[in-house]
Amino acid sequence: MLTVSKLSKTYGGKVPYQALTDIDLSIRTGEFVGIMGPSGSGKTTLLNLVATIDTPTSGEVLLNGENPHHLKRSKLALFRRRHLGFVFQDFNLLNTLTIKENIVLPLTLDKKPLGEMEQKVMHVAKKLDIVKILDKRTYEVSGGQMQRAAIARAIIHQPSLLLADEPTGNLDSKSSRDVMETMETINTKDGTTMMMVTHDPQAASYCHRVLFIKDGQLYNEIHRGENRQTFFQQIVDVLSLLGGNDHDLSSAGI
Amino acid sequence: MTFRQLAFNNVRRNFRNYLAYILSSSFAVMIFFIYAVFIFHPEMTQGELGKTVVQGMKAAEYIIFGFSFFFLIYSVNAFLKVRNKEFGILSIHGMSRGQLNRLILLENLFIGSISIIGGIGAGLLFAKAFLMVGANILDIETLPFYFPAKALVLTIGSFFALFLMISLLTLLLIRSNRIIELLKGNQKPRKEPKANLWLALLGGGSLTAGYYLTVYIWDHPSLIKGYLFPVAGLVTIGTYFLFTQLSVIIIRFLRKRRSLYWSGTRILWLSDLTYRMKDNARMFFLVTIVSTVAFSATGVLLGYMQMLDEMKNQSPYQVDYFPFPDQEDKEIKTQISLIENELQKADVSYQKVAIKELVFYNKKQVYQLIKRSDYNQAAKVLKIKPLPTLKKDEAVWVVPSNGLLTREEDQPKTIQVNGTSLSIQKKNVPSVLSSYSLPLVVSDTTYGKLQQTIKEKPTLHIGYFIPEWKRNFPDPVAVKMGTVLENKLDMPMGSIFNVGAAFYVEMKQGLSATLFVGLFIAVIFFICAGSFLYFRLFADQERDQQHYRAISRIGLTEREMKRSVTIQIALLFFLPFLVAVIHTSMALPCLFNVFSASVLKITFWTIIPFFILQLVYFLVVRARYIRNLKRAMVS
Repeated sequence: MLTVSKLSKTYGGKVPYQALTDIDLSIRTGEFVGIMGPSGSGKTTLLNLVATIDTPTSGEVLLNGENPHHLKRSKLALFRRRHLGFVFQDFNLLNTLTIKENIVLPLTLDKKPLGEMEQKVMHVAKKLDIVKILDKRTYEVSGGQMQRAAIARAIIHQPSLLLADEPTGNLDSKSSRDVMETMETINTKDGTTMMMVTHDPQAASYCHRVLFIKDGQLYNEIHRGENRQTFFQQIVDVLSLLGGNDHDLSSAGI
Repeated sequence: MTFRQLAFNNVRRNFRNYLAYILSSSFAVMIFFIYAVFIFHPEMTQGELGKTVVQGMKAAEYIIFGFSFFFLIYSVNAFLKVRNKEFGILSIHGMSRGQLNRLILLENLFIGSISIIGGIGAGLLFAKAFLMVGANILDIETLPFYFPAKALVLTIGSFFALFLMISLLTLLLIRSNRIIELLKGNQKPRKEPKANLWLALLGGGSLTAGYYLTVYIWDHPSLIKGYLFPVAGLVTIGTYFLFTQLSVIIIRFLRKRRSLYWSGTRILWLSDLTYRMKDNARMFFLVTIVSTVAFSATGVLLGYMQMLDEMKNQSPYQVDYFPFPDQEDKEIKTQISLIENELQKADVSYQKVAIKELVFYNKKQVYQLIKRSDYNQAAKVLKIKPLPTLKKDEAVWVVPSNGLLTREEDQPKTIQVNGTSLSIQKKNVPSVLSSYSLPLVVSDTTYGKLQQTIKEKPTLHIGYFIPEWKRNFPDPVAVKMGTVLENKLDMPMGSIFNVGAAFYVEMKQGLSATLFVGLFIAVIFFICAGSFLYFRLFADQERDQQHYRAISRIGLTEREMKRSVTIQIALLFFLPFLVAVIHTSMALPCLFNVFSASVLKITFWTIIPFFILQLVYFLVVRARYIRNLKRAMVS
């Protein structure tokens, strides 16, 4: 589904900085993959390259066999809003809109018929249990609810790939669990392909597979077995091997 | 880095943000300085008109100064609000309150000095040109350029004091205390603005009532005196609530209509508009009222100038004299000989016409009767066709074809004059009186008979037809004689003496001078109004950048962003403008007493230059704003 081959990114400037070196990775349809690594390891760069927010220096990203980086600038935004879904650490909801309006935004921008939008928003809201807050404003609901609304917005147009950047980074542990369970449900029930960057081993333990990046290169990869608890332990072990700083191990994240 | 360098660098590195502010205040300084150059010009105080203009300019200086005060205090506050976060960072690193105050004071003084220097520099550059234009408009000999020491001192002194005062005042006004609040800046999410339905209805009601009365005045021009203030009050109240309440309700209504609201970028700008309208409502109101006043004043002046040109030919004579009917005959004779003396002295050939008018009232209508021999005597002088003999009960109603008045419908076929009935025959023949009067011409016998039945003495109209002055209008000799004679004659109340050319030139100069003085004030108002809009926009820029960055990550194309931003900025710029234009087009016909194509034309030509100015402003601001937002957006 997603194939990344020989992907490198160098940031220019007076002192060039190699953020990613020859990354190869592929994600199958319906897979839920986590990306972990210490701060500055290049995991967010990788996500941004896949998200077409950033352009690679070399290598290519193929989504369903197509390279979005070959698209024109104006088409790229349309590609993002039709084929990708995004969940961010800071939710990225507009506070001038209600929760419902935030969720339908990608469809509205594409001028979809009103009936379709109404029907879809109710469908996802029921699935994510946010029907009650649909007419509330962003500042009237909790962080967990905001993140679930953001997930609703990310999946309302049934994207091929859902990209999440530290989705639990701003949440307390209860909300984190809610959000991760929501993501897991979407993944299993709808078969949505997901790629998530996180610091949080707890969150990562919901993935099928976790890739570790260190200094811009793939370091390790572990698969989840039957038990999430064991998987969590394995993740923590790899992280300590990675030799990151203490805060990389904490579940709170920054 | 010394403390002063910090302040200086703050201004220097944010120069682009301060640019509109500095340009606007420089412009105000420039106009203030140029007026001062006029006021202190040694040759301005020579001549009546010069003195009047100096008076007008002095008044203008006060207006500019007062307006600059409000403009500056508003702008400085707008800037400080944007910089809350910066002040928070400085405070957290241990900058004391006193140091912060000093920083703000120093910065303001830097900006003030730049504005003063810029304004005076531009003023000195353009002063010569302004003096030439001024001399031309005031119709005086060239005003030579001089070193305007007094004007310099006045301008620098006043504006430096102003900037100092504003800086001190702002220090009192900003008392945002807690560092955490400063650091958060203006990022706090705000509740959706609400409107009061009753106030909105009150606004809509007063606007409707105001407009209804305005249209009523169009048809009943005599009512304007009593209605002017109530109507202006109603429209002002209406405008205020239109922006503060009604707009919110209208936007809410639009947002409820999903099929309209949930479509493309509308969801973005319409939702944003709710906040923007409420935030900017008071400023919209002020800009609208100021623009309406500026447009109307310019329109009235231009209108009068055009009317003056139409009035040029109102009398067929070059010199008119209407003695007051109750005046002694002897007195009238001395006046006449005085006039004729002057005319002979000036060595111009003239022909004199004396016409007696009999005035009477019939069913509230005023009629003037003149006899046929008087008409024909004048016709001979004016070289027009004489009237044929008239029957005893016949009257010819003179309707000049070039006349301004044509009340044809309400004229009866016959009228009764104290028992005598006259049958009226309408004729399009040139008037021998002014083109404003439509006299009835009767035979000499009928005139004699009617004269005995009317108590009032007939009014005398003495006209001097001077071909030379007619050919060469306005003849400088005539203009000069007008002023000389007016002083010599010392007319009693009720009698009128008028040299057409002198009247024309005097009026024209007065209007030009008013326009000259007033136009710049209007332009200052307008430019500052534009700057207000600019500040509001850039005060919200950080929020907008985050906003568009967020949506661009999900996938908003650059074109969609441009569209949405253009609509937002266009509304900000042209909504007050549009309302002001509507107000003005309602008001101008009232102020002219007539609704005609020429009024429409004047209104149009008044608004077009302002519109172009606004359009340029809009395009520049839009380009800059979009460029800044583009940087915030991910590819």
